[in-house]
Amino acid sequence: MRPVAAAVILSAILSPVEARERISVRGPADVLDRFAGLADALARWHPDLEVAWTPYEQGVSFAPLFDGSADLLISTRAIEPWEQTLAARLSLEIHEHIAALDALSVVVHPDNRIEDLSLEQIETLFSGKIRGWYGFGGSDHPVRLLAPPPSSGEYQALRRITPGSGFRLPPSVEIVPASAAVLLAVAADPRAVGLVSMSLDRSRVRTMPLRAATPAAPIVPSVDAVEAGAYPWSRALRLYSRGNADESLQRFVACLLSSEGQKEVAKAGFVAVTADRPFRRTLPARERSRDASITRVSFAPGLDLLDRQGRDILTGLAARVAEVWITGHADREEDRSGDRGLSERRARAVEEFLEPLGVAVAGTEGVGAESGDLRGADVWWISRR
Amino acid sequence: MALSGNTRELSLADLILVKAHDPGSYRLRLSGPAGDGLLLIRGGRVVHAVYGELPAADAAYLLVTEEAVDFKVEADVDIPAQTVNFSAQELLMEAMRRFDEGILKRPKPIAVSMGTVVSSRREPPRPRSHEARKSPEAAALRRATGHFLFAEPETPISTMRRRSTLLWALPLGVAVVVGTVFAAFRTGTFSSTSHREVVRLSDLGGPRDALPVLLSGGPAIAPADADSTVHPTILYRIRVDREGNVYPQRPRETREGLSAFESAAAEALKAYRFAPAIREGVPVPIEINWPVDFVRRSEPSPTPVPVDEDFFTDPLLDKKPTLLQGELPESPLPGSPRRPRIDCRVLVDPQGNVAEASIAEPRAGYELYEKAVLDAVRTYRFEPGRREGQIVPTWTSLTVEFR
Repeated sequence: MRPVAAAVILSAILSPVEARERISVRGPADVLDRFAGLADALARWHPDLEVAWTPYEQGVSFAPLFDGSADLLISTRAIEPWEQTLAARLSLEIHEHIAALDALSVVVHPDNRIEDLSLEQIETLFSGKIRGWYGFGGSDHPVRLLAPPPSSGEYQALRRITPGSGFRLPPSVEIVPASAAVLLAVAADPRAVGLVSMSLDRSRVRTMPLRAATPAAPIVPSVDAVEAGAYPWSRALRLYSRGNADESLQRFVACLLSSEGQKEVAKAGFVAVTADRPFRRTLPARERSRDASITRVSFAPGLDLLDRQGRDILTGLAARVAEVWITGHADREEDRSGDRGLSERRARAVEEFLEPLGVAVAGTEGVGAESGDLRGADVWWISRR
Repeated sequence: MALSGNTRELSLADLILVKAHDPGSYRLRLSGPAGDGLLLIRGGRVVHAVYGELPAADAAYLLVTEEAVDFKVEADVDIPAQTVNFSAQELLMEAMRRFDEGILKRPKPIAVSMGTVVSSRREPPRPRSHEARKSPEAAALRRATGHFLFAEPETPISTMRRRSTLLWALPLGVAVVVGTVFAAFRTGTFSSTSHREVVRLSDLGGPRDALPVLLSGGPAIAPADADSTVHPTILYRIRVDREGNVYPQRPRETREGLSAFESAAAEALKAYRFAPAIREGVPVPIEINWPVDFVRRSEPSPTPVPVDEDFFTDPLLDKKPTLLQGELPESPLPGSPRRPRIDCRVLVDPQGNVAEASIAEPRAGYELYEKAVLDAVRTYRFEPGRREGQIVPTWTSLTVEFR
């Protein structure tokens, strides 16, 4: 699978850039790997569309969608409230479609003797409160957590087990972004536990049956259990596109959501949303094109002071741009407390620098580590065309 | 071993329930008020039924509600063909419903041709079923008539019954209780509030099954007060009933701040219409997931306004789409002699692909054929239609036959 995806990406990079003929699709590397068959089928059905599939190694970022460098985002997580706010500030219409259902599989070594776990126990496990498997009645081995990166769908799923609980990964946790690596590590290590999509080949590991609550029956992720909603930890695979989608992108999305496209999705190991969905889902109309752009400024670890390079970037920006929206970030280490204080101070530092230069700041926001371990501030602006 | 008896001692319903957990094949030779009957059971499912002049499903429904039927059970029989496919539960539930609603089909009064003695008799006026239950005279009369008319001379079922009734009724009675409790436990029928089985997608997949197909329904209108510029998709669990009406059950997941969208989605779904799911040729209620997309209130029609077929009045000015490539569909029921011609309408996009397709006049009983046609025409390629020389999306009509 991977060589195919790599070849597609390479050809996309090498081919000359055309204005709107090409569709740029971005998504988590694991999912795009699974979609190789779908990509082939789409190429057969619409030979006139040139599609570049570009993976993220870590999680999902909405930045390329917002700034127009990606036409379509395939995401294992739903858009977060702070990203919705940002889209509203930038006046970007974002359309969401559900392409498939998926389940989060908790994978352990085949020798792991624990029969099943409840969702609550999963949350406890991944927050680092249980150090050894004996905590769940298992072996004497310590637990080796293979944690998903922040901004990934798996991480969002962990945080949503108990909404508003402020779930956090333990500070020194081992972050393994690629599911293939998780599966390899789990197959080799009786201590390890990881989270992967149900679409992946889990034959060399053991998939832990999950219970929604302690008295409920444990259920193994399967197509039927996910379709019927019996498996307690399913999620949707979403497509995000911007309101100004052109005709070729609309065709592409319609094809992916059609019954034929859904067959390919099912072949990839996901659960088709509904097994038969003819070309019926009318997609939203084209809207006036409006592109946001993003300028990124970095900060030194733990600091909210602009360095020289950052000041140069912002000075150059101020000459071109009249109004901006600023989002501050921090990495997981810096935002260990989760109060987003440092990210807010960084956003304000950029604001204080830009305002005297005549740039109107529409607003600032600090989003902590939610954007996925960025150490800096994003300055978003609408290009004037 | 051949069991025999009369349904006054052991109802056919109970007998079928006992066999519901038995993998073997059984033939039930029956003799009731409406004539001779036959029920074939294989692997716990009723696969064939005949009763008097009634075929298949109607025969099965009537048989299990008849008061007095003589039966004889033969085990390990060959079952050459299958005309129905019910689990015991399904059959009994459906039969009971039809009985309660008074829509059980009954055979016409039988034209008697068995001999001079019989033909001189007239069948007594048939009481309505609930009256029959109340009136032992009517039931006895009916039973007597049935026995007299239809007992096979070479197998005197009624005499066999008298001898053997008590012997086998006791263990079978125990088995009935155990079987019924077991069946109720397994299916959860008696604990759930619904008295009719709702199938799931995983129950379908046989050659005579069909998935529900959306006939009408589109994106929902985004709530006016939603301040977000993100248009979410709400995934709803819905129930589609036998008539294709939609009953939204619940959103598959709850996300913060989207309750207005969830209720808008539920409202939109209620206006959707489906061709119902088909199982063994019979429409069944089903639960499926359905995503609802949103459009803004002010948004224009999502598709470019197509040129309607009626536009093409002057063939010199404009050009209709012409079919370039497309194969006739295979009949969904290859064994059937029916080869209907289906009229459909397709929207040909400027690339020559079929953007939308619909059946011009959907007909009951043709759902499988219509679905096959729609699946086929969606793969067709056309030379796109033109208007004043410009390629435009165009509606056109097609009549499709089957191979």
